[in-house]
Amino acid sequence: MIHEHLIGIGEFRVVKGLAVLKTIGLGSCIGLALYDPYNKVGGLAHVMLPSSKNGTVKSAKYADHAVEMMLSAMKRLGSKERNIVAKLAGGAQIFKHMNMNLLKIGDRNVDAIKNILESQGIKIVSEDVGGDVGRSVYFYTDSGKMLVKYSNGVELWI
Amino acid sequence: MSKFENLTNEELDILREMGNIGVGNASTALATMLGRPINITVPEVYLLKFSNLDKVIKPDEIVVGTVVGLSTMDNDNSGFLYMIFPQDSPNKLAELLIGDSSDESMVESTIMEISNILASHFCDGIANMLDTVLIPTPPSYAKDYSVAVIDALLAQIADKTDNLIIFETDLVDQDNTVNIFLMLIPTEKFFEYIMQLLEMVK
Repeated sequence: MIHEHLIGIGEFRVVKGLAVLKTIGLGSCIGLALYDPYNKVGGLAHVMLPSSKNGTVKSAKYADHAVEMMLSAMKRLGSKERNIVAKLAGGAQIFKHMNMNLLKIGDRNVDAIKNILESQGIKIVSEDVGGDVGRSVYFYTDSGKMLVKYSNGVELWI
Repeated sequence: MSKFENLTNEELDILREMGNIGVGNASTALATMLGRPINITVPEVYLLKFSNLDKVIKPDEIVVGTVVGLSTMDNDNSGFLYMIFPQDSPNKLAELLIGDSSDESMVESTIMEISNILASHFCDGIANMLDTVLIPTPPSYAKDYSVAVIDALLAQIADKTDNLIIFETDLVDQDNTVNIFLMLIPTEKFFEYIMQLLEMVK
């Protein structure tokens, strides 16, 4: 039986071997997966905000903390940073009518994560970001495959 | 926000009463608009972490949802009112109001108008009780996963806190055909303002 773990808003989980890490109902949030194909270690975070501020409590809700926390958890499970690659999905803008100043949080999340990964030398092998439709993400930690299910029924593997 | 975890039953009752007044006001307006009685359930007050939001709303359910921002006179963000119209409710409301639900854009306009009315009456109700002024923004409309609709808004308060307080009430018409869930999601600051008033009541 495959273990399934639901990753709530602002949470992350790292697993060695086979598991399905899922996060449901991403709008502007991002499902960020890190994966080490040599050691079969994978993790998924549900990121909500682009960056932490000074003195904030460590939490995977921030993109910078999420990467840092997942990397150190993966290293504890035997991963080498140079092996790790990334996949991401999410960052949509759900509202058609922008009556409120939502500050394009989805785009900012995507940009922030790309910058952080680049500065860490982690390559993004595939992504599915932006648009105006919500997504759910299923990440298979042994193969590194990610299933993206849109709220309109469309599914794709990235 | 240590207050959050240790609210007394009495304080929770007052919060429920606040929700009751807001939703009561909103339901009266909706009943007038639809020309039929609307029942409301006793509001639930949930105090939870962001990561447990799926305990209150089904995250994979696809809903029509509208959101208004709430602000005080001096333009302070006080939080959000999230109105969820599950399943057939949007079409039923359009049929009741304009006698037709075949045109999706008309259904959307109907839901926007209803949201406008619910939000303004809800705000009047609780603002009166709290002796302040609450101004709703025009509603934003979306049809998506129930969580995806609001995560951009939650992100705005997530920087300050991990705690969510949600007031949830169900509005149901007499034939049980129309369901609307209302959720008030106050900012930390607005919640503290409410709690200060509770202190004065005691």
